Amino acid sequence: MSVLKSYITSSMYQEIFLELIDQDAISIYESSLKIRIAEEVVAKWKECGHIIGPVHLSAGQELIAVALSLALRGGDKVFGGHRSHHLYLALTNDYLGFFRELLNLSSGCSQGFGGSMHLYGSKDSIFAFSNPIIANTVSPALGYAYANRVDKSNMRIGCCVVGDGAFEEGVLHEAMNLAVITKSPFLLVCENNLMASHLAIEARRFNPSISKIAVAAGMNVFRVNGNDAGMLNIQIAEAVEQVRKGHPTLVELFTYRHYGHVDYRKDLDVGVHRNQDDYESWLSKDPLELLYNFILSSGKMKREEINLLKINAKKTVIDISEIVMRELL
Amino acid sequence: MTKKDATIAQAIDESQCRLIKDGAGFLLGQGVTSPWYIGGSTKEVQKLCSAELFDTPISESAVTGMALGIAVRGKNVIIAHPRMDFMWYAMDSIVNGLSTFRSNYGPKDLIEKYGKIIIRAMINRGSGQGAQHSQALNTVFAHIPGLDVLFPVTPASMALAYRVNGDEVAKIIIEERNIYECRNNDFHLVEPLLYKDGVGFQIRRNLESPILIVGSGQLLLNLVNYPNKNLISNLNIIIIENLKVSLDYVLPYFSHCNKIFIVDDTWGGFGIIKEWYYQISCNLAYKKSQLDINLISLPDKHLTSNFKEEEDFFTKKNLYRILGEL
Repeated sequence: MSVLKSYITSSMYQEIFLELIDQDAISIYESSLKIRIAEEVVAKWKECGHIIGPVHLSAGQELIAVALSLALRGGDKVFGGHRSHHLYLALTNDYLGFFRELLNLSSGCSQGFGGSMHLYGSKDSIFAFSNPIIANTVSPALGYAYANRVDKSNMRIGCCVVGDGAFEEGVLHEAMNLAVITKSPFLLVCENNLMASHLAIEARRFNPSISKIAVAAGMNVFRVNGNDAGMLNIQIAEAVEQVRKGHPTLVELFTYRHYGHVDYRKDLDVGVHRNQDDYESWLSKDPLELLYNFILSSGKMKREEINLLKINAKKTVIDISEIVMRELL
Repeated sequence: MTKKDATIAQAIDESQCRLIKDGAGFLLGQGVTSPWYIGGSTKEVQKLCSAELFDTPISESAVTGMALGIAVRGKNVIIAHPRMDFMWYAMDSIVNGLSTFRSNYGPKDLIEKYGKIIIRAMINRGSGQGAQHSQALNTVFAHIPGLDVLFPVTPASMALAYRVNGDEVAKIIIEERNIYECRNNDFHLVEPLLYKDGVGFQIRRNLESPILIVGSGQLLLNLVNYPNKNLISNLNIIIIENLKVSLDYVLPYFSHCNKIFIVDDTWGGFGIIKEWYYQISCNLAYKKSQLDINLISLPDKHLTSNFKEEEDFFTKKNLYRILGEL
């Protein structure tokens, strides 16, 4: 436990919000909140048995997806893993197709074939697809980047979002080397939520600093507090700029998932080093709450305004989910 | 079209050039810029397409997985694997990435939407290659749904394999290095039988003979090289070039046969040879009592590097013994 404690209380987790312009903070909050509400709907659907297959909820990690959606542009492609709800929603804004897919309706984003783990973006979407085999989409993302590397005037980025567990798969190491020697516009984003399935990072790795591996491979590396909206957006934008110049880059983002590895439960009973104390400590760092308080304290919105925003966001998402549920029934 | 007198290696080379030029595509793999590493099958490509060639490090999994991303970009891509035993490293990308694609995301018109994906899987056996390089994973690939698996044995059918669209997102083309230098004229005994405008079978039909030899790959070369040409020209022959196509498509042409030899240069146990046995048995079940079906395949063990043992290992010797008895 001590290793994990010292790791997560390091300087990476100082809650510092850089000054954001008004619209950024508010729109980031609104987009992230909608994803959180969607995940709560999915959790309920799973608990009620409306969803048959596994769901890997991304609550707690929403800011990362929203930051990517702001930094990337048309022609770039993001490839996800098993926990990709937030990426799909942030990059496509297609809540209807998302909910339909979760219920395996043929009108879903993957025609009802894929469910939660196999989300598929339209041809023009920045989101490509997700595949739950850990690190399996690293090389397709690299392939996309590789195919674009010759067009220097319009470098389209191939981006893969993985968890920290992906660094324990061999293909990721192959891909980092290939990206560097080919100078491909490859962006690797690691959502380091300190857990892979049920195992905490210090139970899996001799050295939990996975960024050092990327440094050894020759990648540019950014290490960022994934719960800090300001730092997150600035650093991801900077990383994207580097990648577009042909420098493959890893962005390691420290965050925490509020649900367990799979479905609606919290995994407080099965996880290694995921107990009630830890869990509550992390909830106090909830990125949405931090951003809410920041918006409030900085005077960017009044309490009643931001509460109205919350009500509207919730209504928008719940209304869509109810339309889809009616389609199912 | 491929030149009439082209070898199989040249047919591969020309087909790759066409695919790369047509789809602004790429060729990735170990040895693709070498004059000899993969049997001289990239000589023309190297002249025409240097920017699109990537002679990769030995990173089979990532390199194979890259194909999907390149295809998503709308470009054609060929991944060359010079050693089939090393392809075990690429199985995650092949099975979990490529073969499941349509099941994961719906049967949309993905092939039209994306670039073509071709995976060259080379069998490089003989000359003391031992348990590793002698491996032929034909059965393994054929067993996996969601992949087109072709094993062309003439230059013409090799060119066709590159040209036609398959049913799936990715196409594995198995190559037998031992027949790289063969030309169309070497195979005058057989004629192509296409399947749905694609690669299917090479057949020879003789209504006077009840003997049928069925198999894939190097079998054709073994038959062509058999000293008694008269005997071969009197046989019925089916060379299976599309391992996923049901034999139901071709067996009606051979309903007059009742002495059947099924030959395969891979391990027999639980192998594709048993699948063919099953299909032939079902198809000709109406005359079951008259059927004499024989299986000739590799023994169920790995080859050692002992050259003497290697000579005895492959099916050619057994095949020739049986042909001698005929």
